[in-house]
Amino acid sequence: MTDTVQHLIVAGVVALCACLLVLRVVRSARAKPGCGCATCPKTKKS
Amino acid sequence: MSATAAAVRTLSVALAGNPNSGKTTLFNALTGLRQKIANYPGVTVERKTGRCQLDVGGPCEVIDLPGTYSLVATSPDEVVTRDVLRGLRADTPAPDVIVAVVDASNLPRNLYLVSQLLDLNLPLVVALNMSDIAERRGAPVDAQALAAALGVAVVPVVGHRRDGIRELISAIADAAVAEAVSDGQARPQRPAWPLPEALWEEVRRLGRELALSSSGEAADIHLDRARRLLVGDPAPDLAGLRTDATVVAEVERAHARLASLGIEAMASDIEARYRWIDAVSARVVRPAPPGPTLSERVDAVLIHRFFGLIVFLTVMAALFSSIFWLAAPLMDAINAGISWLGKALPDWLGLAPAAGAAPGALHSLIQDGIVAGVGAVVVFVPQVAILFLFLAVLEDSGYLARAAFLMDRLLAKVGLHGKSFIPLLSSFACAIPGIMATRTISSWRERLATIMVAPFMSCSARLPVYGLLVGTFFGHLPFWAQGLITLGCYVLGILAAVVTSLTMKLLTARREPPSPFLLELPTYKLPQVSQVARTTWSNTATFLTKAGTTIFCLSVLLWALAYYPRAPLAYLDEVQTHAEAQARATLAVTPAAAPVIAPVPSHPVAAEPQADPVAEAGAHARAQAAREYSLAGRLGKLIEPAIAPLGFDWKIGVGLIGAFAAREVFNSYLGIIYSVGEVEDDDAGRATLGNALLADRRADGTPVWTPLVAVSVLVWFVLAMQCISTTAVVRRETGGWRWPLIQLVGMNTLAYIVCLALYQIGSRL
Repeated sequence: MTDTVQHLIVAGVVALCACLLVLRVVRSARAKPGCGCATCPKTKKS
Repeated sequence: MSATAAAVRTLSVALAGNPNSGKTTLFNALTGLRQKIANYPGVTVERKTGRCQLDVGGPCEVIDLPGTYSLVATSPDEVVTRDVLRGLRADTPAPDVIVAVVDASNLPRNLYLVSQLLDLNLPLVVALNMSDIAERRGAPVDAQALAAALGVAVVPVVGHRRDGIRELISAIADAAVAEAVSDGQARPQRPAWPLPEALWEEVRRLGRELALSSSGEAADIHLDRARRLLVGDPAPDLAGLRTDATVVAEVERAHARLASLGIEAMASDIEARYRWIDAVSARVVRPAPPGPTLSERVDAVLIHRFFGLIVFLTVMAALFSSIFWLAAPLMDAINAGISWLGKALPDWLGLAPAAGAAPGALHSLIQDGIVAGVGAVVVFVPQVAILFLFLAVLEDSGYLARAAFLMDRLLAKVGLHGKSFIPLLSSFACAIPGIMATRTISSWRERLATIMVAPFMSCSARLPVYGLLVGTFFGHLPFWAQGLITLGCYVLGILAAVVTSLTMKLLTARREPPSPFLLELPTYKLPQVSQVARTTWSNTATFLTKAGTTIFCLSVLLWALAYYPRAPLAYLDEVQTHAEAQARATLAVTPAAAPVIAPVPSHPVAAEPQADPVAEAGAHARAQAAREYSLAGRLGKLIEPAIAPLGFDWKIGVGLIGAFAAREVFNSYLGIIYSVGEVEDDDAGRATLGNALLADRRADGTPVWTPLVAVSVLVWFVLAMQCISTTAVVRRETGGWRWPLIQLVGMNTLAYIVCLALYQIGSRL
């Protein structure tokens, strides 16, 4: 396997891992907010 | 609605009961799910749902609710229970059937909530859980007599053995069908609480007023609302009435009339229910034989003010020592496996370099990035598993609730709450469930203080870092001493939490009195092997999953940062030649002096370089130059001036930045950075990584890592806030960015100042 092919495969793996991490962060950020009950601070403020 | 229709429709069944009455155990038995259970109160803080197949017709949805002693909720988790049971949540329909989970070994206390569930006037089934414990104590409950007293089905069950589950499912189906065929006429009748006649009169008077202003509802609904208004129930379904001027005036007049008779509505309501409970209990529970129970005799020692603390500290010290000596053989085996994999995997994939040629990028990615990076975390799985195993044994035995009781006095002094103990304890596994568990704390100030200090508890992600540094720099000490050093890290976190909480308490302008701490101590029991194994596996699997996903991806990214751009070979040759010339000159001036790469005494693998010290120095300089040429090296060099006063070099600095994604990544990064660029293709894994740390030298030949630097890094990991996920959860639980940012800046500033002081003072001693 030539060096160029190796670097291309590595670039693909790195890009894939970066995408997976970004996806994970986005999914965490979109996770359901707290229990939403009356005593949650957010509900209290509103 | 016909019986057939009721059977076809998916029914909603809510499990309600006192904390630690075994709701989640029953939930798991009914649904086949495996939600976390433990032998202490407050494990469930959110509603959880699962499906269960009824005898008649299709499945039903089972809702597991947080435990509560009363429907007059004070804490966020109790509010969830109240709102679901009263049908006040938009996302959850009102339950068709309520299963009141009752601890048979403590019936009177559990009946208070049952009395309030009866008031809801919904189909109700009582699951008489832990009836085996009640029988063992010689105080069994007569289920038939209890059913007659309550007017609802009572099913004796033993949740963890699944005894009585079929009967419970049948009773749920019967209650649902009876409700459907009778169109609500078969519901349990509210018992007539023995309220003072004057209070009844006021309830009836207010009920008539309410009936006048709304039509179409049954009279007993108005009576129930009137009673709740008079006793001050804060439930949101009464919010409209509480702001109605006419109703408010009526309630005030009623309170005034009652006060003139020396009656306080809420107290009278509670007393009346307890009079009813005493009467029911006398009929259905055989009195227990006199004398203290085994649990009470054991508690005389374990919750003793002095001996209890001694036992607690001994248990903790034994736990941390055993983490090292029990895990050592397993870690060695995993280390050997990782080392073998690192060599074999690239060969299998046909990536082995030709003789004399340097390994390619893909070879390095697999060996130095993936295997060394993930392996540096995976090797600590035995330590993490042993920690979780011991905690599972302690929590299933009922000891952890005693520890919470012991800690209440201390916690109250520093502005926390007895209920803070369980969230803080959960934080030793991970701060995220710990912070969510603070929902059991009703006082917002105490809850916030607990949220702010929870990340100081050493989570399982820190353990691999502690294990690596303690094993490397204090590995020559006996296991118990290594255990004590690790315990010291945990204690330092606790001390930091105490100081922070105390500061928050002093800074709080309003001096609220601490809210009372009521903790029902669970019965001691022999830990169930299956439960302990499930808890240990569940927590360890979470750690492993994280290593296989997040740590894997981060290892690949960090490897790329440490590998690219590649230094030109001519540049590396020049650095190597220069270093070799310098080494030769040094040896010529001081031939008796120690070689540039000093052997490391406590590590036989590192002590082997009897090789040419000149060649060693050249190879080391070449590897160092390759690392520094990479993106990671350039970034590290950029931040090095800021962290050098703490004793950290650029490699540690980049590791600390990587650790913000996940703390274990620090190990991965060190595994990668000390593998990439090395001329000698060394074994991967803990021992070798440790040796690499010990052998690493600065340009002037002084070691990068010393025991003092290791302690400084340990202190940083104890005190610094490095977890993005935790910050996100704190934002969610506090409803804004203010507190997570204060926490992030505050903890990292504290870590910086303490490490600075420690290193500067330590290096001058």
